[in-house]
Amino acid sequence: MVNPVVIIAVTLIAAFSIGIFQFLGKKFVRGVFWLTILFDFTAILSIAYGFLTKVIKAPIMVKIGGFPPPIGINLYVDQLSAYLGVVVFFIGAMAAYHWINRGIDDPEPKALVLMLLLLLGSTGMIFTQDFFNLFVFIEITSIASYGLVASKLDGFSLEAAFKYIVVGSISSTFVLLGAVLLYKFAGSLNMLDISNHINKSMYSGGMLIIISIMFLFGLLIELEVFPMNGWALDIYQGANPAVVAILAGGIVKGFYLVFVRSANYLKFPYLLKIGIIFGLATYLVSQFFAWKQKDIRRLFGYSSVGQLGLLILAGAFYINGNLTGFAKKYMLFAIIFFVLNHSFSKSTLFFLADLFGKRNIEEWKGAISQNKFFGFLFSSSVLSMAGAPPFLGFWAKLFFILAIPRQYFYIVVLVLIGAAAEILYYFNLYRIASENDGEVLDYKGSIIPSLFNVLVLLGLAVLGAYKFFTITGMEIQNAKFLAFITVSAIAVLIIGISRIAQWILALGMLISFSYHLIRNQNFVSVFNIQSFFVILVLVGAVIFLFATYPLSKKYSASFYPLFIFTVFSMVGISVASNWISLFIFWELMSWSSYLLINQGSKKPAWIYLVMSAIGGYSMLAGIKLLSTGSNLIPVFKASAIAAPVWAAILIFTAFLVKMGTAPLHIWARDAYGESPDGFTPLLSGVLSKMGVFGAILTIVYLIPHISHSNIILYGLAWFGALTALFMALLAVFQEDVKKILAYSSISQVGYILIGIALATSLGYSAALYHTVNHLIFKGLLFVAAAGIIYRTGTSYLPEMGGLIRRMPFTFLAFLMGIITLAGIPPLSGFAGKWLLYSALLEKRWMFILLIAMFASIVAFMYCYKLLHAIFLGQLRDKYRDTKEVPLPIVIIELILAGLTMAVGMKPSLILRFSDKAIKTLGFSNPGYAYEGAHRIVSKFGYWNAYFMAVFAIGSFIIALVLFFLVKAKIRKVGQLDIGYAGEVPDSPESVHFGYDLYAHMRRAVRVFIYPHVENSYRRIYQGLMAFVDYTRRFYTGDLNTYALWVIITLSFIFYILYKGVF
Amino acid sequence: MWIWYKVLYALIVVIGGLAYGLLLGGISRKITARLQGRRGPSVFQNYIDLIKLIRKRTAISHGVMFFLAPMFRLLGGIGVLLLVPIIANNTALSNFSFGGDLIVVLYFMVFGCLGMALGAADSGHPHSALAPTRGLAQMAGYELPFLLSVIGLAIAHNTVSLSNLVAAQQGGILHWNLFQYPFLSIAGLIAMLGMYMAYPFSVVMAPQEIAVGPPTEYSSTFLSFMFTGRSIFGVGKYVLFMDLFLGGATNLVEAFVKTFVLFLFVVFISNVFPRYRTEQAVRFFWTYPLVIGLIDFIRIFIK
Amino acid sequence: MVFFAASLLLIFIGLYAALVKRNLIKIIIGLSIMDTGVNMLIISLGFVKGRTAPIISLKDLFKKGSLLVDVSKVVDPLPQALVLTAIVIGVAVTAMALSVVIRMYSVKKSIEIDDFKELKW
Repeated sequence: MVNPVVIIAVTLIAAFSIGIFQFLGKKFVRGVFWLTILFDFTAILSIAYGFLTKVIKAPIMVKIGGFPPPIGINLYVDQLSAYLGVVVFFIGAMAAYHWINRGIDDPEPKALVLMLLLLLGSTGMIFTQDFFNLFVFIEITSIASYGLVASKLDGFSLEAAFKYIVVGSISSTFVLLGAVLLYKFAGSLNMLDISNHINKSMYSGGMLIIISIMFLFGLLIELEVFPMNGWALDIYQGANPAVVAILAGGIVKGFYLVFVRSANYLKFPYLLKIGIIFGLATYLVSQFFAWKQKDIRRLFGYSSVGQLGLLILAGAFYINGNLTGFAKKYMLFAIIFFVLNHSFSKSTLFFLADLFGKRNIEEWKGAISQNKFFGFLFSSSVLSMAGAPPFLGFWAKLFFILAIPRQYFYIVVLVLIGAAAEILYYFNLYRIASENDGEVLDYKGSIIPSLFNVLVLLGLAVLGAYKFFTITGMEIQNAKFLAFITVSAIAVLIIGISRIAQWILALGMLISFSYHLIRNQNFVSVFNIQSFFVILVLVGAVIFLFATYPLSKKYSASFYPLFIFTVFSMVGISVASNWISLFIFWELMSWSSYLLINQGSKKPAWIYLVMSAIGGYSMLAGIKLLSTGSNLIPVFKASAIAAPVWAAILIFTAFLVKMGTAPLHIWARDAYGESPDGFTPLLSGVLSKMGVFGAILTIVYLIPHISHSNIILYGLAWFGALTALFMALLAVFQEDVKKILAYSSISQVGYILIGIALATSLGYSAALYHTVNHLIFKGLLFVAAAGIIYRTGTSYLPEMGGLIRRMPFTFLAFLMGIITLAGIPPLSGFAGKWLLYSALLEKRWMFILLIAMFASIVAFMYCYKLLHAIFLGQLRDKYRDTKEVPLPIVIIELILAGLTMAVGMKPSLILRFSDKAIKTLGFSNPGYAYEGAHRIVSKFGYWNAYFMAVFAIGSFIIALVLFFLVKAKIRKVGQLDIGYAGEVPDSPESVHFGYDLYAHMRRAVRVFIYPHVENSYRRIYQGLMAFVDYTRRFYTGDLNTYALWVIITLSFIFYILYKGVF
Repeated sequence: MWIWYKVLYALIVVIGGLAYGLLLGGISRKITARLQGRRGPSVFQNYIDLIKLIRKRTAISHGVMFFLAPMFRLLGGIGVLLLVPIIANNTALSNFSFGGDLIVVLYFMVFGCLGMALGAADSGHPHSALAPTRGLAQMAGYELPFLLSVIGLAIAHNTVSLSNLVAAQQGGILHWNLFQYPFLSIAGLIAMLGMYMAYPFSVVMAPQEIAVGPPTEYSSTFLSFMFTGRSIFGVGKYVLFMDLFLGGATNLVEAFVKTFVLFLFVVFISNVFPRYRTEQAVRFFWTYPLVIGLIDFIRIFIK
Repeated sequence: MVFFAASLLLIFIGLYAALVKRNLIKIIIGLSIMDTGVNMLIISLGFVKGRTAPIISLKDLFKKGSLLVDVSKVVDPLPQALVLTAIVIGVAVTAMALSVVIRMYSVKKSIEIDDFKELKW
């Protein structure tokens, strides 16, 4: 262990020696600089390591000049300051390395001196325990940063520096005044001494309030609190990114620690309120102002400021929020994680922004899609910044939300809104950067610092997960499973050189995992709703993964890892034991599927992500409502106690988003339609079913315990019915095969929602049956569509036609899929319809029954359209040589087609599983009964699937035999040989009816298919954008106004204190 | 052993249904002709046509689906006829209605139409492909009032079994759904007009516009199967409506009379109206019959 | 009390300059005035009327034969020590600010705030 004062002294000496001996040359200067950094870093690391391994048990007190405190100045190094010191020096070193190696300019020796002074100042600031000394170190830090900010010597950086100087001087005036008045008041400058001297009752006197506010207000300015943070944003935008990285990544965190610690020492009683007001304001305002920002550096600046706001909020709660026990611990870890996450990812982002060089985000097109490694670093940082699991930002946010006391629920809501807003703009940038087109642009300079940072980030992700699971005491299986997922995905990623190897490995993983699961006695003997969905996920995943083989050539190396990630996170959702673990895996699923969709098309993926984020965060808010003071991790069953209506609604929103229920469906058409063809079957067949699973959980565990549960269920059924109807109607007018299937998917899931909302055993039977059945036939259709697109190169229906002649097997399978989709007996689709209608009849929900049945009639229209436009009509000349779809796809098609036939004949193949699952939901019977071997009876009617199948097939054979008995000689004629007004048409295109098949229908239903919902979303978005664009002019760029806002804010604080608003 | 009796009865029903259906077709042509002041063909003209078609020597095929479509069509027609009880609780003539209830019948009705539509599309003739889209659109039109009345009746009688529906209407003419739930019945019967593609809802097969729609390319044996299927299907639907609204039948004579009345209803209406365009038909179905039907529907809902 | 009021007045004058003046140099002057005000305030906090400076001088040694100072005769020494530091820091900030202004002038040939409003929104 090194005496902390040595760090300061050595740095100081080094700084001066560089200044004096710079004539010795660049090598000397650099050498001294790096040696100092290395020494400081090692020293501080050794202290931190001492704390970490508990070698150092108590905070280190260092007396300076031999005087013991409180007379002498002393340093006080505890765990947090040591850790923060490590971070500051690490980021500082990275920033310096970046500066030196970025290949644009060479830092002058002066800059290195300032850098050392900056690090020295911030270290001293963190370590000191004397208020005046604190002021001195703050000033050292500030002056060094003024110089560094100005060091680029262009208009931007000088302007930023001058603004900083003015506002910084005002800020330090307040700090100085506060410190000195404090001395006058308490007779000491030692923090601990003052803290002992002060008690809360002294605040009634008024003097102490003024003093504390002076002091803390000065720090708040440095903490870039709204509305006094215009200067900070200007620095982020204008200064050298290397400097900005160290400022945002390290120095500001020092100010933060000082602020929180001072407030703690001063026992400032209004910290919570100040923290809530300014923290929240800063957070929200910057997250929204960033929406319209085109300059990438200022964008990151807004994000940094927002994060600081969140930190202030968290700190206020930690110090002053009356948190108890676990909550306090959670909050502490939230703060630590926020700091670490922000420091490492934001500095990386600034480095990368600098390397790429472009300021305008529109010019970032292709930045990450064309530079793979750069893209990896950028993606990791952005994902971590936006709080995607399993990165640290996610755990930080989760800890934070869990720790906030329930009576501050509005804070949870606002913070989550801000988080969603953050995702919106970050991934707007990500969307642009991952665009495929655009000229090849390369980055300049060294990415080593970014690489180091990202490595740390990845390590921190592991740490975050580990800490989260150990501290919350959640079942260890969750953590193990998370680790398992990650390791599997990484394993698949590593062999990314060969897609086929990836395919084999991924398939092997899924199959062996399933095999082990089936071998597990526990799993087999306790068959419940969760097992049902686990099997659903795994079976679907294996089938669809198998079919991706021919398509995989054009996918990037991250396709299969993300596929595995998505699949296993869905398994994680299915086996989740409480709401939080459900949420964790839910987010994993959302993010990994987002990245997969993003490989297909960018804008739809972005909308999907934003909608998912809204859904996921509303689920988190709902979970928060379920938690009680002592039980922060609500489990499914215990939530029976008192579940507020809002909790159920909020949680349900997440599931409705994934199910694509109107009016939350806007993401679905394009996300389904333009995601990679290999992934769409999984998206439709399995991923949307996670919404179903969650909905069942909610309805079983939450809804019965809330008031008005009947109304809510009836409302849900209406949502389901309207979704089923209108999405079917919209599907009719699409001209893209995958988009038709997309709307069809949401429409079908609407049926499932009706079944769940019935909350009767027959309703669940219908829902679960249809869940599996939809997997079968929609999977079949999407897989077939993928094959067709693979062969024809288009998904645009009018381009196709007549393919039955080229793809007979696919046609057969597709036809069976369509018959199932339409619910025509004797294939498996009808059973689901029959069960659902019977359940609705039983409950006498006539209107919903009417809409549901009518929706299936509407569905016939697009069913026919699909078959006709793809396979029938005239074959185009360009497809004369098209081959049948690749073999693996044909295999999957035929397997699925066989399944629908088998299930159509014997629905009990599925129903026997759903019966078991339904029993575990607390029902004694599945709602229907068998009469004899095959006849299924409900209260209203009966139906014999086996008979129907035999009847249909038998009649068909009889009809065929009859035909051959009476048939005439059959003559096959050419394709164009049709009764065409006595002429032979000149080309297939001229007689193929393939575009806008339902023009007549469109005229009848124009008002229903007008995109009202999408337009409302667009209008809301555009309105918000316009509002944001207008309000962000708040930051005028004028120095006087910046200074004015400082004064106004101070007056505001005094005013609200005076009026006794607190 | 009973199943073979069933099969035997079924054969008789199908052949009888075909004969009846063809006869109805002939009568319809005759009535139309007389209303227009023509003599018209013989009422047995359809038998003659069918025999003519079967006896043609060559048939033209355009592809596999084209080839299979007539089978689907025939199967669909036979299926519907056999799934509705002509005379309930009669071993012979309740047919195979034990196999399924009203919901099954409703969905099975689509089977034949789908087959025909696919065959038509496979012929490569644009008009043939156009007709099914019109048909499906119009179907979306008339199915709404039809489903309204079916659901209303099912809820009112607490059953979706056709036999039970018939049983519930026994005991005098006033127990018929036509009088018990007149508004639902009106909605259902208007929907029936659409289902038979009678004027004013005849745009699907509009001969002057799109040849004859789906069967444009069909000829000879293929057409004979289509024709057969259509006739049987027609009879099946009359029986269904009889069971739904007219109290079913307790003996064959009653069945003939009631279906014939329904037939006359369709024929007379269709002879006095011009033709709707598709969207006009759809809009019509979604307004008047729906609103009329809703009166009873809401009455049942509240009860 | 007079000192107190005067130093507050100085601080407000400085703030006024920072808030209102459009000329960069004037703003720096304002900051310096503010600084002076704060320093005066600090001094006035430790000031007790009628007492002497807390300085140990050789004269005292010869007079009293001891280096010990009578605490009741001198003002509080700490504020004065603090002020010394604060003055140094203030000078450093002013120097930094002025050098930045020189650079700004060389870039834009102007020292008016209106020419330095490019970073905004």
